[in-house]
Amino acid sequence: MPDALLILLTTIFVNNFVMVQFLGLCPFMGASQKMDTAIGMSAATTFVLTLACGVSYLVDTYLLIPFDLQYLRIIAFIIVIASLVQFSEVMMRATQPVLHQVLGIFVPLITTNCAVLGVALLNVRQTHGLAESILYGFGAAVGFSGLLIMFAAIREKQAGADIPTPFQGSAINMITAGIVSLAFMGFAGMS
Amino acid sequence: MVVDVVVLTGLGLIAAWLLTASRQRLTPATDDLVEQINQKLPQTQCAQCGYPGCRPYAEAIAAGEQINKCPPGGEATIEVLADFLGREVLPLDQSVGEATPPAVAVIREQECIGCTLCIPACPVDAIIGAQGQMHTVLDSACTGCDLCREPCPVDCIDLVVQDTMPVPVFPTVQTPCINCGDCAIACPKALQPQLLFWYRQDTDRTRALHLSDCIECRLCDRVCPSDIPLTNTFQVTKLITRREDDAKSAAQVAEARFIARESRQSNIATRVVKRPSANDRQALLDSLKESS
Repeated sequence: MPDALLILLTTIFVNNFVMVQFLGLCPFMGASQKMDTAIGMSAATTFVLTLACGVSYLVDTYLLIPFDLQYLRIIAFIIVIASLVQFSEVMMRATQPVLHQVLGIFVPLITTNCAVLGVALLNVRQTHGLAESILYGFGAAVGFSGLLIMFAAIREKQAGADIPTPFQGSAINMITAGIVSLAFMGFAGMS
Repeated sequence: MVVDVVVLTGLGLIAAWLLTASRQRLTPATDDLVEQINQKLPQTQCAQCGYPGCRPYAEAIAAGEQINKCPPGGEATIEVLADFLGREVLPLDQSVGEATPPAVAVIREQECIGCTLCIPACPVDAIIGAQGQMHTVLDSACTGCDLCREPCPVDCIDLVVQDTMPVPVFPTVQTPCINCGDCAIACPKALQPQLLFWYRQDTDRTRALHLSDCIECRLCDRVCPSDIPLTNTFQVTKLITRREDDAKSAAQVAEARFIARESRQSNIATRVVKRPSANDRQALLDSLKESS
């Protein structure tokens, strides 16, 4: 399936949601301080994004478009995604306690994250089918996760580095993120 | 226009229904509540409340039982529970017993006849000994629940009240803190002494502010324009924190021992049930004989 591969590659590298579309910067900066949190956050985001993309596609195709209500997308998606995430959290707690222990605190955090909503909105704008939508969400999540884990690694390295005083704290993080973003711009040539 | 409203309301209603239904059916939310209540109980496992241990009592509280039936916890536990559950503070229920100071059981070893009657009575397996041998209490594991005294035929077990350490007093402050922040600059460990001082009564907050990193160098005392004895205040807070930690870890140990004992007993019970009795064996033999 060259199509599927293309969607994955596009979402992970060329249109990376954090570094090219600048979505989901808050968890990117907030949860990248430690590797453990970064990995937990990545797993939770992957779960939520994949789910949200599929369900929002269904809502769009079978509810909003037939009634010509595309202008309600944002509100409808927020409702659907938020409740779905809460629902899956409850399900997870009841059926997969171990998984809930790992992801539990992160799942509600990303409920109404801009990346989740953004990916869902961008997804319905393209002419994707259900499988492609799920793949799109999964690819976006993998891109996010890879970047988050990479950035956490950089920040853990940074913690021991001798950074000049004016650059300490968020300044150096912003600069690092900028440089990583520049690097991702390089993938734009691939499309 | 109407369709829009209907669709959106419908979506919201479906979502709300899904969430409430799933939460009611699936959430073991009470478990969380029970767990949290259980952590606030002293874990003596003394059963004075009428339940066979602290966790059963926690379950009962979660189901609506009164919070004033824990004599070892006393007023302090009642207050903590009332605060946590949003219920009223009640005086201790005198029918279950008086508030008891922390104590440990001690066996007068010359008088012990080695009858082993006290060993199964101990909810935390703190008594060691064998038939005809002297018994003794592991005082690090003893919760002072008083359950071992009753079965002892020669009354050789005493409850020895432990010395209660005096509640530390915060040093008096003449001039209030003006929040100038000089101490924060002076602190070599980059702490926030003004915040630590402000939250000195609240060990959760001071813990979050890393009070344990304080090396008590007294540099903050020196720069404080109000002459607040900051370091002495922090010492008191540290002492209170340490005592809280000790009590918590002791409670955890007691609970772990109690759970271990429970699981061992249920294990024994199931094995005993499985083992065929003499009657069963005879019946089996008889039925085999009849069939042949």
